[in-house]
Amino acid sequence: MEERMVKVKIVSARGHDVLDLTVDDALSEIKRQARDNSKWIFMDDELVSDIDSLTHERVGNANSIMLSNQLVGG
Amino acid sequence: MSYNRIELPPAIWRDIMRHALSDETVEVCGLLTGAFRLDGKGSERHEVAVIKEFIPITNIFPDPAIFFKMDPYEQKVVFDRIGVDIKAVVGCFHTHPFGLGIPSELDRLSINEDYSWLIYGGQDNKIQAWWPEIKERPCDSCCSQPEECKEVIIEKRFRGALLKEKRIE
Repeated sequence: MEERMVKVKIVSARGHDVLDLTVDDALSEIKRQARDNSKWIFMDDELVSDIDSLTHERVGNANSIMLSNQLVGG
Repeated sequence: MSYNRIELPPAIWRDIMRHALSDETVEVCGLLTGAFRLDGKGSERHEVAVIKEFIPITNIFPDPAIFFKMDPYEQKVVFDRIGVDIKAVVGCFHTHPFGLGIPSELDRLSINEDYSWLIYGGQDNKIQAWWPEIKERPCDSCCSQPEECKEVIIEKRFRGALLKEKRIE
């Protein structure tokens, strides 16, 4: 059976990159980006506040996944 | 490619200042959209960030007098417009209502090469623009065997300039 793929959009100031990933790889990449690069994670236009709660099923069923930089300072 | 010029039309300058002074008790923030243009020749070739629009974004930080965090949904609306009716986000703006327009420690961690940071200082009523120069070099002292070490040291330095209405260098 063909493995399900999902698109992960990573936005930057000049546009965006779209990654085509398996659900497992997408889940790993989303968690890595949130942890290492402090990205905001939007799934189906909703902000995901608890990254640890993300599941394989939720990622696989999402229609859109977008990662963007958190803009914070002091 | 170095990116170290900004063009700021007077009308946008006024929009930014109006927002900066809208609440002088908290840090206010926003995004600057526009486009990048190539100027110069040969080794002098560089990018100019041409600012076309200032978009205020709500500061959602719990203690907004000393920190800011841009509202993620408002930020997303702006980033969703890239490639539709805007070309790029070229700057990030916030205020230091009780200080100068120089990057704080947290600002220095957050500033990246994507765009310049414009900071208004309430102490001297001026805006300064900042952009980082990020360089990588091999390790020379992080371990006992630097000649075999694969670590890369990332150095982040900052250049800043006082913002005048039309153009800074």
